[in-house]
Amino acid sequence: MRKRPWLWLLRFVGLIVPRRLRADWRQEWEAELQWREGQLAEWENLNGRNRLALLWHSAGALADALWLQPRRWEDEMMQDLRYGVRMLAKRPGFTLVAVLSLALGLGANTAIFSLINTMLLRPLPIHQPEQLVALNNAGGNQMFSNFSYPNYKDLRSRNDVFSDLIAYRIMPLSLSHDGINERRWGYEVSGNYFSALGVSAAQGRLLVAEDDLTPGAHPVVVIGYKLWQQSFGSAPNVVGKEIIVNGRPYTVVGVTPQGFLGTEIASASELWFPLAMQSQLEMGSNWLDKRGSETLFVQGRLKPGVSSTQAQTSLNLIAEQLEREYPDDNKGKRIALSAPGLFGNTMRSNMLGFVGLLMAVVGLVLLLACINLANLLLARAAERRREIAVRLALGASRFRLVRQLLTESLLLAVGGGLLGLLPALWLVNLLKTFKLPPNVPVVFAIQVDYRVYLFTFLLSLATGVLFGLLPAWQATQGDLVPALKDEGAFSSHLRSPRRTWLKSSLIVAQVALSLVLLMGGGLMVRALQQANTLKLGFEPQHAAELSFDLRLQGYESAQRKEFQKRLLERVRALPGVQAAGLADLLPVDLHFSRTSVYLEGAVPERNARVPGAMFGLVSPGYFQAMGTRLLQGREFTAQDDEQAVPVALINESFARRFFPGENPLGKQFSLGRADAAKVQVVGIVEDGKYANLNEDGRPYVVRPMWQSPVGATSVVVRTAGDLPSLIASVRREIQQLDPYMPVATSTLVEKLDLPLLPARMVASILGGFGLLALLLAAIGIYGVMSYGVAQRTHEIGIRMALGAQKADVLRLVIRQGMTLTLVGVGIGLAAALALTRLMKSLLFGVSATDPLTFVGIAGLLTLVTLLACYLPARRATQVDPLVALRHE
Amino acid sequence: MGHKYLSYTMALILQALDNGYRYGFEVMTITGLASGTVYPALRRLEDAALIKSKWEKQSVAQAEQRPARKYYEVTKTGHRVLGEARQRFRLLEQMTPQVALKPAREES
Repeated sequence: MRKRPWLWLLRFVGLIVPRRLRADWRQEWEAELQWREGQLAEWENLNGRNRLALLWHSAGALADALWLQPRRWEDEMMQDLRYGVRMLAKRPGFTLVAVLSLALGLGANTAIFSLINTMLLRPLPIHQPEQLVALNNAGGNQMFSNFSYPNYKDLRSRNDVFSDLIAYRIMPLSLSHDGINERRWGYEVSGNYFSALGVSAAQGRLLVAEDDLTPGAHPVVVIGYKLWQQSFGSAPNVVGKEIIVNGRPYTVVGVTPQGFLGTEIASASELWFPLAMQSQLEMGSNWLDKRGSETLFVQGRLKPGVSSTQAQTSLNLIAEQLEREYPDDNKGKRIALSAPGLFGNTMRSNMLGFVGLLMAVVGLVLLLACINLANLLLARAAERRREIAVRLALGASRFRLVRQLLTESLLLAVGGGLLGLLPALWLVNLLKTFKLPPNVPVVFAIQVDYRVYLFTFLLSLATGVLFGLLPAWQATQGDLVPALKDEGAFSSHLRSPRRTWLKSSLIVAQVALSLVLLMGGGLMVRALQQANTLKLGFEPQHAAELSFDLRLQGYESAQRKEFQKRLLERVRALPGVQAAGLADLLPVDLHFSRTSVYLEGAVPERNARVPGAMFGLVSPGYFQAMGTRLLQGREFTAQDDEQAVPVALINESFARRFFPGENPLGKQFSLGRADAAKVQVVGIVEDGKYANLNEDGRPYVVRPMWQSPVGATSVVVRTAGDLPSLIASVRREIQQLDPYMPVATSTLVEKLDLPLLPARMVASILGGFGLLALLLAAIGIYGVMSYGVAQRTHEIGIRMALGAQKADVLRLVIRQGMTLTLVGVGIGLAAALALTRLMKSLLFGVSATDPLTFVGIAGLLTLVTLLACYLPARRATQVDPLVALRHE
Repeated sequence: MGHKYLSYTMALILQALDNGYRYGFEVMTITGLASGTVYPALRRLEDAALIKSKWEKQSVAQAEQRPARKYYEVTKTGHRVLGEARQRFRLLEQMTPQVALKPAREES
């Protein structure tokens, strides 16, 4: 036999030809090709070209074989679909329950995936976003993402892996225009920012390199599209308009295109300034030439063909150079690259953690819905055993039957996925309007695009196949004969241990899963309750805060003190004011200050950790206004100013930590630097929370504002009367002193929203999805129990005819259902005990195994499942024995 | 069956069969169409009962030590439909030989 590659190709292709046509098909092709080969051998030699020609012809066999396929598949597929729809329509209750369960499960997953899509998957809306990477300044043992301007400039000039390197900073600003004062966030960017990103202006022009040459000489700004719409009414004359930012005039030169967010996904910044204007925008700090001031985020566009690893290696060579040249500032600094958009790397791990939690939760919910589906399909299959047996007996292949059943479960799954889009979109809208506390420049611009729909579709398919396969396969197992003879519930085939074990364990799993979710939610709700009774260290009721920043308005040191003193006088004179005071920042806010404490006589060793404390600057009357108790000594007075002895107030924890067993009044220490002027303790206040709500026993020290003037100012006022009108009055006082000062206000109770935010979110998520899981579990149990009762109508009829009372039947049915439920509750409790300790950091004031919550949730679950068992059981008792006995 | 609409390729292949090129390979070479076009077309024509297939005589195949080839003949319906197609594609009419061609081999 000569070598005939085309022969082997034919054999291979022939595998996909339908069996009954295969022999003829093979012969036809082989005959033709062999004949051609013979011809070629006669007329020419069988050279390479001819052999290749033969092989090419045999490739046509593939087209032929494929053509012979689709008609058969198409016909059978249409058959399966039509039959499936008919079968599902016959049992609307079953179909509805299954589709609803799946809709809830799939919808939840779709919603969460849209969040993931927006945060992690969607590229930034710029030119060729896949080339952009973020540089992270990895130095020593901490991962900061920021670089200093001189380092950035050196990286930019010395590297050969980036076609462009940009730097930027995001910061709060006060914006005044057309009589409106607003607080906004903005970018300071390097001159090549917009050209590197490849975006063009919607109006006017964007910043270019020429706008970033001389520090202080380019008072220009680009505004964002949304800001242009909202605050400037989309007026075309915005280009060339002058606006006041941080007390200085800037000219608007252009508007960014719609949808452009900048280089950070979650940031709500709306203004872009040249970095050259840095010291004008940030009064009192000039870091453009300080190599040690690491304030900038840096991103770069990789040259085509350069990989991240190559770039990282090359950049680290430059980092080593810089380390050698400037050892003080750059010691041990290395560079790591990461995906852009998440504030370098700083937000990534938090985001991933949060998203991971969400995915786990919705994954569990979907699992529950799928278990429902599987259970319902199993129950349904038991009902259809006669039909299946008949078809098998008539000669249908098991594969064909399984395909038929699988088609039905796919129909349910895809139907559920489509229906699930409704709750998904609703949930996404809810997330979009999630109110973050003010001063947090984060926006959740969740987009639902093709990726989300594709995900939903694929997930539905996977669900249908995975969870339909086992029931479908199981349905075609077992003895045909008893089914054909229709022996009903007495058939041992139905009672087979494997089949009941599967169904039982599914129910148990459902109950256990929903218990775990609900437990998490319940604990969070308790924690939130407890939050109201936490020892905060101040009294949030009946007090409010108004904050503004004198730095942003261009006030110098002496002017600041003057402003603050006058304001305090005027506010105290207002009617209804019980107490008023100032501070640079309030506890449990977005920012907090720490400082190092150097006790008298203590010599700090090199590299040893210097003890620290939370720090603040306050005016006289602050603690009174906050409602903080003074335990010993006195508060600051107007006499504690720059000419007097430097003083400080400490809290109980500070006294315990640094002056254990002694009277702290009169003691002296230094703050910030070992050689700083010593301060003297004049009073002690009660402990409180300073950085977050979950802490305890942090040392806290404050110094008088008049001895150390500061720009950021918060006015705290307390009243027994109407708080909102008092807030308005104080605001008026501030504006009278400076009409351009943007002021942010909130009551102290509202301020607690921020630290409670993560807890609230987790509570809503776990609680919401926990209830959803409970609903699904209840639906599932109800469905399965109903089916069981319907199957056993015959048996129940006999029992009742033999003398069983309604109560006996009830007990029989319920006992079956509840045994499984209680096992599930037991397993769930054990799992919850193990898992809730993961949430410890969010549970303030509540232990992770809080007995009240555990008992409460377990009780709730048992009650709901009892109801789910009771309803079908009641239906069972209403069976007329005569009817039941005649029932098949 | 209802009136069959013949595409140009199908008409070409039918005409080739009518002209005496009975085997798949010959139709391929004479029309210049690819095997991936010709064979599915032959299947379709056969399904529509415009042509019918036969195996060549075993003795002929055996003599040449190869499997028997399949050849196709145009049926009566096929002739009628081809006639209609010729009305539509006038060039085909010009390709119809005036004298019946002698087939390349003796069939039965």
